[in-house]
Amino acid sequence: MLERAIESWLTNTNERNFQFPLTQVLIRKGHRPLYISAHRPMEQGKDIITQDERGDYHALQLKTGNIDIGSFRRMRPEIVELIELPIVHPSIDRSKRHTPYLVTNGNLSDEARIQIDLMNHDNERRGYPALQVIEGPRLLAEFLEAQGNFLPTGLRDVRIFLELFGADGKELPDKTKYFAFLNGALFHEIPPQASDKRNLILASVILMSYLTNSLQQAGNHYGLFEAWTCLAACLVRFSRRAGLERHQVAGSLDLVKAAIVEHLVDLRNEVMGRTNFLEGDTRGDGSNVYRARTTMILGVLSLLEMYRMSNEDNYTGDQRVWDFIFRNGDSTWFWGESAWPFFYWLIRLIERVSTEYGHILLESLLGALAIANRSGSRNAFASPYISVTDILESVMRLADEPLDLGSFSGQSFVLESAVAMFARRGQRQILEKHWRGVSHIRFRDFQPDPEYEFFNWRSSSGIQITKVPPPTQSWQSLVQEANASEAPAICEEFLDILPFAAMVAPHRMRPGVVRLFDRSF
Amino acid sequence: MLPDFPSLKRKLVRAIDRYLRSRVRNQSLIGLIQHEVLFEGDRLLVSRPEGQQVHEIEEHASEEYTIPQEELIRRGPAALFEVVQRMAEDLQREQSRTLLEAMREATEAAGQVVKGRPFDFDVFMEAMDKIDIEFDENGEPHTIYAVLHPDAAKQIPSWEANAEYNARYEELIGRKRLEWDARESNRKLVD
Repeated sequence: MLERAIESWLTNTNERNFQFPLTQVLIRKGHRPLYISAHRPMEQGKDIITQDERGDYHALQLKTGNIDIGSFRRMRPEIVELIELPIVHPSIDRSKRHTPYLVTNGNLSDEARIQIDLMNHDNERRGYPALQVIEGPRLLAEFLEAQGNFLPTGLRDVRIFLELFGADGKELPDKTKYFAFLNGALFHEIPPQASDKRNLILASVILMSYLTNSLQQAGNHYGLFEAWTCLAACLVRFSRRAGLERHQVAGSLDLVKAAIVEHLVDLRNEVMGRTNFLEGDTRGDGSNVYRARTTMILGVLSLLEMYRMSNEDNYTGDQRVWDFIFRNGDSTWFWGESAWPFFYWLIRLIERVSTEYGHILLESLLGALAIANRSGSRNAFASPYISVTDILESVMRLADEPLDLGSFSGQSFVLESAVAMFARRGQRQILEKHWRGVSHIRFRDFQPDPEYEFFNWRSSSGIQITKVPPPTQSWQSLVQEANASEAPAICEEFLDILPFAAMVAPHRMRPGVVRLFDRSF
Repeated sequence: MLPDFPSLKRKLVRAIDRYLRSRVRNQSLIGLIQHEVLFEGDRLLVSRPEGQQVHEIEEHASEEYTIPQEELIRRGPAALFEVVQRMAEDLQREQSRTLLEAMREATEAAGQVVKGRPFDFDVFMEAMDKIDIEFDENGEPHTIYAVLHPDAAKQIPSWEANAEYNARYEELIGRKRLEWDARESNRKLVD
């Protein structure tokens, strides 16, 4: 049954969506990916470039659907580039030839096949390599083989797989279900053999491509970002449980990270072309729904900018994106503490342009929390465990049971981080102004145990921490504590995944994590 | 299997759950206490300036309730609702008992207990003197809840009618207001 689902996915998907699982298949065969296309023009007809274990290079061009003589003639210039132009890449020895591949999830017509044979015959005479062809059936076989024994077989796991596979792609992903499936069906048992552990990881990346089928079909870039981040988090957790070192999972993790960034870039590209952020059925849109969407978009775009500036040598930021963010900043909404990661990255990006304006935004957040979450309040900001969807349902009176916002009063999972941020920035006057209100609120936090459970959606084991701030607080001590606040070692080790993981699981945006972000980005 | 209506039953079970929770919270001491859902973890750590304590999160106590099959067949959900009423009363009683026990331990540890004398206005005032009272921005005290034995509670109307008792009570509240003011003034950042 699952093979049919996978076949259905492969038949209906496009080259952008089978690019990552195909790369994973190549990794499994011992290839080292050197380049994966972001599908910009002028990429010399090469979507994936790899080097195999013998040191030979391979360049693949991916296409969607059946290729007949007409479509082959139209793509011929790209094919010529694929075959004849040497690979231009810093890691590549230009004197060495590469093997070119045309890969499609469809089939070649006989006429197209004859054209390729004639072309190969001519290229052989001219000293160029023969074009290899991989069609849909072989691609499917490769995926199924790479999947190995790691397709879920238990009824419950198959049911969750099919629910995820067939879910409404326009909805936000059900993260609880994604984590439950990945950690429960796939990563629950740790294979004893190192090779099986590796193959399981490889299989998970391929499996993720099928699972996110409905999100791909809907063009739900944000949903795809969340789904792939769920996988990244589960991979980190599994690697630790299985006793694997970072370098042993680096290939797959880098691939997943590339998918995450690619989907955020896709979201950015779509957003930049919009005049407004209305989406889908406009009945029910607008107001808080619109503001929530705006906040999510601006938050992840800010994260993408900060991430790229930190990780890409030549990237200094995109002014168009920054202007766009600042133009739309008034339409944001702090719906509850699960909005914190979006606001954190927005504040960080704004600080790069205007420290003062960044502090104004952070102070307004701190002040709002100190007032709304005071003891006895019936309208406190809900904890980060409450999603934006739950809050919208409650606010719009559509929930089966409205949220009791009073149950969140007297405490905050965010306030300690906001206080520490001001302490690290030397903003004593701001904190003095708000200290009386802040000191009435208990700082909340959760420390998962063991450490790798940080990358789990929920951890049954761990400490729920309540810290009562002292009424009279030494500024020196506050600054010291703010600079000493530690994140688990696993967070530092996987810092490249952490910002995405904390965005998707806002209850993991702990004070120590925020300090790590402040220090590292 | 026979034809069934699982989604209908799930709605009913959810409604019963909501009813139980509202019964317990609205009609007992428990309703005065703020509730919070803990989504993960198995331990609680409370850190105050004076020190910290770790508590294990205890498993809920369980109780068994039965409905005779014939009763269920004949009366259906009505039979279930009767059991739910008993469950709510038992739950209220158990949670109130647990809360009072916890309060007793906490107040003993904090030295806020007046012992060894019959309950009267003087004992009441002595107990009030041992606690911190919070006030709002208008200087009005937050509502104070006293848990009293019914016999002790019968005295309250006579205290309210006693001018001297009222004066003493107002004096206490005035003193507590000054204490609160001092505490609030100490909420600041210092070097």
